[in-house]
Amino acid sequence: MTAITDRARIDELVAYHGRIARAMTAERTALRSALIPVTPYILIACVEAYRRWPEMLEVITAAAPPEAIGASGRRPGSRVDAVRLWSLANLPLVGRQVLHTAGLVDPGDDARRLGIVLGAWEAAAQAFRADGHRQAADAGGVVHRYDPEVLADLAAGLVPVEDPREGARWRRDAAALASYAFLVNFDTRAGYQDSGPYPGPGGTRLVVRDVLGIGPDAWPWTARASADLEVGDVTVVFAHHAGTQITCNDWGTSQVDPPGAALRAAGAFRPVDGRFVPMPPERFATLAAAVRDAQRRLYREIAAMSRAARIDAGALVYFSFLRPFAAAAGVDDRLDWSVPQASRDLYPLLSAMEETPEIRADDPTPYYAPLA
Amino acid sequence: MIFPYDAAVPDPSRPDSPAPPGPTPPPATALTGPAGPADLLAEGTPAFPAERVRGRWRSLRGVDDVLALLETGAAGIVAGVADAGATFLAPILEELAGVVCTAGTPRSHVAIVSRDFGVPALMGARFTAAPPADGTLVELDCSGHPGRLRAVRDP
Repeated sequence: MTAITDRARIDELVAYHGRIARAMTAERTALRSALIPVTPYILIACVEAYRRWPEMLEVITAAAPPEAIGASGRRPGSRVDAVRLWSLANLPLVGRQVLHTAGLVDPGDDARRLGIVLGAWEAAAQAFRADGHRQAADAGGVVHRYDPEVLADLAAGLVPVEDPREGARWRRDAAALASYAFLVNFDTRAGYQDSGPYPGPGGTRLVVRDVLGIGPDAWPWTARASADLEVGDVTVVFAHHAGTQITCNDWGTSQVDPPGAALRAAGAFRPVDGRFVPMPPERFATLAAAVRDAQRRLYREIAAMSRAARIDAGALVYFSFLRPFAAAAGVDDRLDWSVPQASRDLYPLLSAMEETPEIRADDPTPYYAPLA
Repeated sequence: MIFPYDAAVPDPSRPDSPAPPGPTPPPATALTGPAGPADLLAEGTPAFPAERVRGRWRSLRGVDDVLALLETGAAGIVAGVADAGATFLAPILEELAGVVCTAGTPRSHVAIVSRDFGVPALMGARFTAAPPADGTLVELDCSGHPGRLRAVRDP
């Protein structure tokens, strides 16, 4: 069991996560969407996470050590990824902050709950990254989730990009998948993330975009919209020229400087039994076209959902960020993933919220309150 | 049906590519006098450096606005939105001439996807006055900092 019991250590990690989360949130801002009530579902899911994840993590870590779970994220096709690791620590902390504001945190149990969550996070994150760091923010904006053997498979499947228009087509098709992944997952990063930069062939710098879970069996609302998609998991790789400045954060956002830098090569792959298998470019283009059609269908379906249904769906996606960890430990089906359960006391209030206060990077108050 | 993205979306490598034909837009607000600072409508942060584009302004406030463009086509439209999430514009984003968002930053979800689609997007936009009327011919200039939205005299 990796639970942290030292209160000073817990406070240190709370402050650590608060600094990074504040910076990331201030940089991105804006949790509003006219289609999806993002703020309500985030708050509901985060309260649920604080109140339920510690007990769920005890089941998970009893079945498999966090280090093994974190390391499993380095395997192609794994949904144990950077954003879920970030969320493992931060969703309960956000929920705790909501409860703290309302005076609903039990000071006699707070340290125990945080100790379980942060202990599991730290062990899993270090094993996931395997570079001595815990987050991209500690490593200068680098997320290296794949080993050289995996990168070799990707490099072998890249195709040269002969002219800028071809590169633009690759980007647009990859964007179509990313856009659909956002929609499938109710504007969360659950469905796609970039990692890198990795060293590529010929001195290139690689960004690896994993798009996972856009198929018909991903969620109840994808059954019809995604019915025509032949694959639910696709990884797209962009090889940029040497010297291109690239960073990735733990939300899976890559920044390429200069933006729109010409591609040297690109490729699409499917994760099959822990390895990346190349997908012919024409097949990828066909998939991207099918995804565009699926997106139009899904948009109409979501637009027809009630606001309450959209909130509950988003909360389910967010709360389920823990699910890949449970799956890696083989206890996924032993846990209850339904929401709401532990937020019913606050549900009417939280579901009515439209947006959260703007986050300022220079705000001196702690982003997450320390232990009482 | 194959989405005709290669016909509908301005190619980033061709900055002078004309806006593709689309449904007849409503009459734009006529402008008098020479173009100048008085035509400045808004300033903000470009999601990425992009060549100037022109299109017809359309304020999109709710899902019905997006669904309407899903039916009629969004080509040649510069969309004004308040939300920086990626989902509100999802089915039409690639087709748009540009996006002006009064919230968010270049790291917001709509900026991320706009950048990948090559659709110019102005984030955190602040209008000098009320947003223009729907149908106004506008020019979105994300080539520098700040990025700017201007009204353009109809030819």
